[in-house]
Amino acid sequence: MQPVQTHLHAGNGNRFARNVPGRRLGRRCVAALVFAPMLPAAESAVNAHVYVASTHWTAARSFLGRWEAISRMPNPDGLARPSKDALAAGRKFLRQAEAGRIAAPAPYIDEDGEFGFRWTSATGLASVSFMPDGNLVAYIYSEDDGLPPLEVDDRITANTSFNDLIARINNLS
Amino acid sequence: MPTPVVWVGPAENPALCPGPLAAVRDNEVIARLLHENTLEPASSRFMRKEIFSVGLTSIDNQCGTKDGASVDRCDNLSDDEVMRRSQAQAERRPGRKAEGAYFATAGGVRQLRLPGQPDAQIFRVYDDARLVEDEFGPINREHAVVRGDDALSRPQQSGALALIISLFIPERPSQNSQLNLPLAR
Repeated sequence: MQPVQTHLHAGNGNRFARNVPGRRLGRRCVAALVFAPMLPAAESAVNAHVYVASTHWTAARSFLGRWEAISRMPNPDGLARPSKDALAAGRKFLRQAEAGRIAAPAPYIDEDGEFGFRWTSATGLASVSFMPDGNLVAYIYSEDDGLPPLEVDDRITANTSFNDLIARINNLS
Repeated sequence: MPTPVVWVGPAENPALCPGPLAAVRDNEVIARLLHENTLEPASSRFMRKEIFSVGLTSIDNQCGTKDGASVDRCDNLSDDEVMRRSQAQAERRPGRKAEGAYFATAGGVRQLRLPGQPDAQIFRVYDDARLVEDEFGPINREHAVVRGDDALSRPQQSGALALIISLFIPERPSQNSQLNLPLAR
């Protein structure tokens, strides 16, 4: 099982280095038009660009740390930030998921303040999102377990359990 | 010129807008230009609200400014042109940095399906040539938009986003390489 690729790559950054424009002269609209400096991952680095492969739990935790730091900052760009409660729920989910020994996810965040984690494999996919309206939204499917897709759109409370989600994600091969 | 009145109502062929490129063919490579907020490099490559019309009270169907997730049709663009587009787009708002582009075929996008729904196309790719420069941007004959089925539930939207994000890759796919996807059944 592999996490969905983000556009952040350090661990596999050499892949991009092989494909920089100019290495394949004459090819159109090519290849690896990704400016990806090869920087090491950093914990809670707010103002530095952090490029990580997102294939390790340390990377996922690092992103969450960044978002927690950013959410405490002034908001000069006018973009929404995740709420403190949503980030706390995300931290709890990550902790339980890591303890559940599933593959590390690819974290993501968007301009509305939604953030979450994604996985894909050849036979399945999973997405767990923490929404600006306080809900947990999830979609999990694996061909291997013979179950229909799990769809969740529920309010996050102190009693929210992630056990079912983690068990289903664990079925992705 | 027919114009769509609903989010994913019209057919993707014939073309919806005037311009030299006509409708987006399945074997065309399309590029999602990337930029990052300078504070946050993990930005999702497709946003729920732009691709699924979340929160829209009206739909812009004007050629060149259609709502949806913008992509560029690559067949007539050189590498340098795609690079320049990425930088120009990033510079339109402060605090953004160009990241280049990711690629997919239009046919690959159109073939994506949620599990158990083999007949339900999720994403449409509409031509959207911008033939005049205005406050929305410069002339862009290669502009197109991707729209996702707005009838999907939020969990289904999440699944669809995971699919399309994993389809776009940092290297140009061969024109037929993304057809017959594993989950497209």
